Amino acid sequence: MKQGRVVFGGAVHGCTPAAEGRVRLADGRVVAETEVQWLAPFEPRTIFTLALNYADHASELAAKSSKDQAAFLTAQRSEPVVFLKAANAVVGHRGLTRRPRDAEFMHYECELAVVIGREGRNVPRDRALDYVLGYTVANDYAIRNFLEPYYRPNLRVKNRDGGTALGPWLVPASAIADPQQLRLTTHVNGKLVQEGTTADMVHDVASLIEFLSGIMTISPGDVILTGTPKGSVDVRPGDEVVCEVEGVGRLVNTLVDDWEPAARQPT
Amino acid sequence: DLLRPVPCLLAEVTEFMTLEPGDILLVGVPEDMPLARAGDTVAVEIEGVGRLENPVRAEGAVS
Repeated sequence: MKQGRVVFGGAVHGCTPAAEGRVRLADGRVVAETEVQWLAPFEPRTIFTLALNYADHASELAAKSSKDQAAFLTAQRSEPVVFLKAANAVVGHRGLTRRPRDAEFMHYECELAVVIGREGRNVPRDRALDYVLGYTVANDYAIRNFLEPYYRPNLRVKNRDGGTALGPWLVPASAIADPQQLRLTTHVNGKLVQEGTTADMVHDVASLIEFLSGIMTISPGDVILTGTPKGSVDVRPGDEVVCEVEGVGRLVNTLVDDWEPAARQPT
Repeated sequence: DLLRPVPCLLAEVTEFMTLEPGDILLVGVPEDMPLARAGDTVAVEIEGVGRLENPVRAEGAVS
């Protein structure tokens, strides 16, 4: 059964879906989806993120890059390119994400997120899906104007507060027969802007688990954000961005203006 | 010898993300880092902060 985590009445509750846009809290109460505040459906441990895992996204970036960068982006990569992301970046369904004042080009990235359920090291590919607890949807915003060649992607591109939406549901692995047969879409203000399928992943979910567990122990609560297809559009405060992964869920996020940090008070 | 002293690092990082209690900033290492080999015991010491000691073992070694 798919599970969410929400705040209602001052407490955190597990929840399951109920009819007509409502959720059933663990204590039995049924409330509207819009009456609760959504957290990510689980608390992530290590967040692994694929830099480029869809060939069309790599080509799209290459077309907008220098010659050297383009060669790098479109080279056949034998190994996945993975970076880490921290807890400050996580925000739940129906959350607000700031568009930083210094952003010139900020875009969404609809991704299948794979949540690990078993500790593993050197997991072979043919056993890898046994280590999956479930799946959720990710929207991994990028502030592209900070991309630079030395260390990519750096924190200003990919580790902003609330820049990575996760949710709404943690869908159990048993509910997804094949994670490589799922359609992905993104709509901005109701308009389709991104469309793809997990069949186009360069490195599939099982290969990613084999690769990562070959370097380090993977643990329950670890999550792999498996990359995004092409179709990057700059988004602005006020935009509603909806990322959907077939069978996994429909994740809603709204961009808001940046705000001034709290004035420093003398202590 | 830090190129960017600690207050400067904290100001720069918190300019684009929030730091929370429990977060750690590793502020870099001076030049001439010796290689660590299996069987070594490595002790790193910082004046007034402490001495951190770790054995290095080959992967798969029992002890």
